[in-house]
Amino acid sequence: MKKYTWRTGVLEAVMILVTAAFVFPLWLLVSVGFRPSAEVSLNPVAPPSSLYLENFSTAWEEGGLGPAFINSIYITAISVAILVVVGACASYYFSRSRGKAGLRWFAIVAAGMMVPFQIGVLPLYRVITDLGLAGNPVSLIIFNAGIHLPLTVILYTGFMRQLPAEYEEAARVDGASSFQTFWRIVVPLLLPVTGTVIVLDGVSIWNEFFTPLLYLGGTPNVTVPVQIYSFVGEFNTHWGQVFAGLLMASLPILLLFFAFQRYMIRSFGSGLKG
Amino acid sequence: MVGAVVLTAATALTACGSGSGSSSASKDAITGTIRVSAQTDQPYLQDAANQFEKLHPGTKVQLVESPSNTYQTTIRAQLDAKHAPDVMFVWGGAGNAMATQQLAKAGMLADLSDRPWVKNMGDTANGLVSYDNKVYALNTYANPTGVFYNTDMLSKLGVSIPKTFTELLSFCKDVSSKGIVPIAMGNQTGYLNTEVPLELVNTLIYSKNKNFAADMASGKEKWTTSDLWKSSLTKAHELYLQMNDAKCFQANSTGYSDQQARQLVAQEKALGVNIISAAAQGVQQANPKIKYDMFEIPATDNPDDTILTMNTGASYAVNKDSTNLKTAIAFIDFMGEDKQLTAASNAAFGVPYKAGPNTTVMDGLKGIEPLYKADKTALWATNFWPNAEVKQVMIAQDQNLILGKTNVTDAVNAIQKAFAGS
Amino acid sequence: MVITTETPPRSDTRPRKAVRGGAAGARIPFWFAVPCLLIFAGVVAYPTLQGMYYAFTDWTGLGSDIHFNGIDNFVKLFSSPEAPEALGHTLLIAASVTIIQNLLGLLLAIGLHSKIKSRNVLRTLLFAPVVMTPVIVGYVWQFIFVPGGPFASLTESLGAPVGGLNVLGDPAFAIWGIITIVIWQHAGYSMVIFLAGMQNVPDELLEASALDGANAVQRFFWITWPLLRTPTLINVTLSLISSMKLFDQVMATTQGGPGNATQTLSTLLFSEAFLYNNYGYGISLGLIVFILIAVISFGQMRLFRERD
Repeated sequence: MKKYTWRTGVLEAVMILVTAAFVFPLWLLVSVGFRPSAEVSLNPVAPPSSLYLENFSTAWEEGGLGPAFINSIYITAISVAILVVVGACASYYFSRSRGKAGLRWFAIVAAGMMVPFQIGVLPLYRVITDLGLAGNPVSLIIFNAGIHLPLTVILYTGFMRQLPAEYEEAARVDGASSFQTFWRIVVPLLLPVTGTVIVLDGVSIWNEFFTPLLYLGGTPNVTVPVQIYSFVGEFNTHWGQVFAGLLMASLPILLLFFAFQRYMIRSFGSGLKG
Repeated sequence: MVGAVVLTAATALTACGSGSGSSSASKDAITGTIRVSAQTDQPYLQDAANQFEKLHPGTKVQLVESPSNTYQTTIRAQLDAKHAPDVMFVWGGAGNAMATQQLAKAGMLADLSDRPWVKNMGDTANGLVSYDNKVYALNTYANPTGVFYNTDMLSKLGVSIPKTFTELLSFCKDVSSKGIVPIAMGNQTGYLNTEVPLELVNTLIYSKNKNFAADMASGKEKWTTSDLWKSSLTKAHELYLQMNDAKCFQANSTGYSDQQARQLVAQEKALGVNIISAAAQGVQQANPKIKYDMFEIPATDNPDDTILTMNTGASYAVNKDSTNLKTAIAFIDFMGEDKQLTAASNAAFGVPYKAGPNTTVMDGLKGIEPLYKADKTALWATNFWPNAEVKQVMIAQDQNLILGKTNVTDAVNAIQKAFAGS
Repeated sequence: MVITTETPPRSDTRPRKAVRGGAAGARIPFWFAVPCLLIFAGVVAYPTLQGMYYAFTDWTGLGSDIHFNGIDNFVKLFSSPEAPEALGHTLLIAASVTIIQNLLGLLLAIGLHSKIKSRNVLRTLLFAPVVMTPVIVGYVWQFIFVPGGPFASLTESLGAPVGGLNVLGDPAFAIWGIITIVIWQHAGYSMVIFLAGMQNVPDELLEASALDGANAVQRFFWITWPLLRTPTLINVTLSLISSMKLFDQVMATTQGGPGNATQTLSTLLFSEAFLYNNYGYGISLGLIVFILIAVISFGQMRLFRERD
C-alpha cells in the first residue's frame, strides 16, 4: 500500500488519460479566454495562436471585477464561516441527541434541500426589503447562511454518525461538559468534512448569480458573477471577456480546493491517531 | 424571521451598509439618484446616463443590466416587494411578463401621456405602449428583421436578391448547389426560430389589409376568429417548409444556436443569416472584412407586396411608485429628444420608428431602406398577442415542423388553441 | 453490500457505525441546534410556506388581485399536455444522472484515493467543472455538440450518417445531450464526497487484509464499500435532488426544445411563474417537484436503512 508499485504506475497512467479526456471542454474554455472575440467567432474550437491577454485586462477594468472580487470574497467567507459554525453545532445535536428529537429536526432542515428555490423567492425578498436590507451585502449573507444550511447539515450529520462515540464517552467520564467534548473531541475529527463543506458551500455561494443580482444589483456591492454576466448580451456577447472573467473567478476556488484537499487527508489521519 | 434579525445584528458591524434606491431628493428638483434597469445589450443607455448626469449636476443614474430571463424575473420580484427601479426597460404589447400593457394593467407604471415626445412617436409606436388610451413608455427605436448577407459573396456566386417567393426558392437552390448555406438559421434559439414564418405572415397579411394591427386593437378582428390571420399563418408555414425543402437553411438547423448560425456567415460558409438587426454588429465584428447588406424575405410573387418586419427595440417606462419621479421622468424626456433617439437607434443598429425626411439608414441596412422609407413596415405579430404562451407554443411547433415531427395543420391548430386559452 | 457480513474486521479499533444516542447523547443540550433552526425558519421555512400558498391562487405575480382557487391549478396541471411530458423528462434525467454520475464519481474517487503521484492535480482538474457556471458550461458544450462540431465529427467517423449526430437539435438525443452536460459538470462533486468518505477507511485495516491475501477488488468490496454507505446516501440524495430541479443547463442550451423534448418541471415552472403571468400555476408545479423529491428521497433512505 505504501509503496509505488508497477500497478500504481498503470493506475496513474489510466487516471491521467481519463482526466485528459474529461478536461477537453475545459480546455476549450481556457482557449476562448486567450483569444480575441472575433477570432473565436470564426473558429470556436481552435487553440490560441498567441498569448492574447487583452480579454483579461478588459474584463478586469471595464467589467469592474476588482471591487466585485472583494465583495465576493467578503460575502463568501462570512457566509461559509456562519454555515460551518452553525451547521456543525446543530449536526452535533442532530447526530448525538438521545431519542428521536434530533433525527426529526434533522429531517426538517434536510427537507429544505428539496424545495425548488423559486417557491420562496418573492416572500423572502419582501422580508429583505421590509428589513431595509435590499442593496446591503448582509442580505445576501443571510440568504446564503439559510439556503445552504440543509446541505451543510446533511454533510455534517452524515459524517458525525460515522464517527465512533467512544472518545466522547471517555471525555464525558473525565467530566467534560457538552461544549468541551464537542470542541476538544468532535471538532478536530470534523476537519475532513469541514473541508468538503467549505468547498461545496463556497462554490455554490461564489457562483450564485440570480440572488446577488436581485438583492445587490445596481449597488457597488455586486459580486463577480453579476459583473461577468454583464458581458453576456441578448444579441452580441463578448465571449472572450466572459471566459477571461470566468477563468479569473474560478481560480481562487480551484486554489482553495487544491489547498483543502491536501489538508483534509493529513489532518484527519493525525486527528484520529493523535 | 427571527433568525434573519439575529443574523443581521451579528453581521451588521462588519457590513458596509449602503442603501440603494433613490436618495431623499426633493420632489420638485431634478437631482438625486435614480435606478435604471434594462436587459443587456443596450449600448446607448450608458451614454445617455452619462450625458444626463452632466446635464443635471447632482443626479446619479445607477444602471443595472442583466440577460432577458433574469431581467424579467428580478424586476417582477422587485415590483412585488415595492423596490422596483425608477426607470425600467419594458417590452411593447402584452406578450411577456415585463410587457408594458401587462404592467400598466397591474397599475405599476406612471402615465406619460403628457410628455413632449409622445406626439412625435407615431401611432404604431405609441399603440404598443398604451393601455386604456394612456401612454406608459417611450419607444426608442426599432430593429428591421431580415436576411443579413455578404454582398461580395452574392456577386461572386452570380445570384441576385430575390424579389418574389419563386425567385427566393431558385435563389436557395442556386446558392446551396454551390455548397453555401443560403440563409443560416439558429433554430435552437427560441425567439429566432419563429422569425421567418412571422416575416412571411406579415407580408401575407398586410398586403391584403394594411390596417390589420389597428383592426386587432379595435377588436374588429380577433386572433381566434380572424380568417385572414389563420389562413396567412397556415400559408406562411407552408412556404416555410417549401423554403426548407429548397435547402434555404442549413441541414440540422435545430442544432444551431443564434450565435452559431451567425458564425456561419462570418466563416463564409453561409451567404446570409436571418436576424434582428441588433445582432448585426456581432456578425460584423466577427469578420470585419466582409461587406454586408440586408433584404426582406418575399412571401408572394408580387414584389410590391413585401412588408418589412420590425422588432421593437428598447422601451422605457417609469415606476409609478418611484421616490424620485421627477428625475425619472426627466431622464425619459431626455432619451425622447430627437438627437438621443437617433443616437439610440444607431447604437443598436436600428432605425427610428417613424422615418423623417432626414432619417438616414446605416450602412448594412441600405437594402431595406426603400421599404422603410415607403412605410411598408409592420411589427412582429407577437407584439400584439394577448399572452406569452402563444409564442412558446409556436417555438415548439415550428421546431417540430422543421424536424418533420408535425404537419402544418396540426401546428397551426396548436398555435390557435394557445390563443383561445388566454 | 451483502458481503458485509462475511468480513470480520481484524482490528476493531473503529466500530463501523457510531451508536446514535447512548451515553454521549444523553446530555447534549438543544441550544446547539437553536441558531441553525432560527436561520432555517427565517430564510427557508417561512418564505417557502408563504410561497406555497400561491399554488392555490390565480395570482398573476403582479398587483394585489389574488383569488383563492382551490386545486384548480393542479387540475389544469394534470390535464395539460406539457406538465406530464415535463415530468417524464425530469424523471428520466434524474434517474440517469443519479446513476451514471455517482458511478463515475465513485470510480474517479477509487482511482484517486491511491498512492499515485498526480492525485492532487487530477482531483483539482476533475473538480474544476463544478466551479464553472452552468451558462458558460452550456455555451462550451453547444460548440462540442453543434452539427459539424467535434462530437458530430467523432460520431460520423464511428459510422453515424453524414454530418454526424445532431445531439441538441434532435428530439431523440437532446435530452441525452443535457444529461451528458450535467454529469460532466457534477461527477467531480460526487467524487469529492466519496473521497471524503474514504478518509474514514483506516489504512491499517486495508494493510492487514492485504497481508491476508485479499486483492484490491476484494479489499474494496469487503472493507471500503461498507464504510461508504453514508457518502453514497448523501451523493445519491444530492444528485437526485439537484437533477429533479434541473434548470440552468437546459436554459443555457436548448431552452426546452427542440419541440418540447427537453422541457423539465423547473423550466416550465420558471416560464409559467415569471414569464407568462401565471405565478400561481407555476408555483403549483414547484409544489409537485417538492412532493416528488420528498417521496423519492424518503423511499430511497428507507431502502438504505433496511440494508443496514
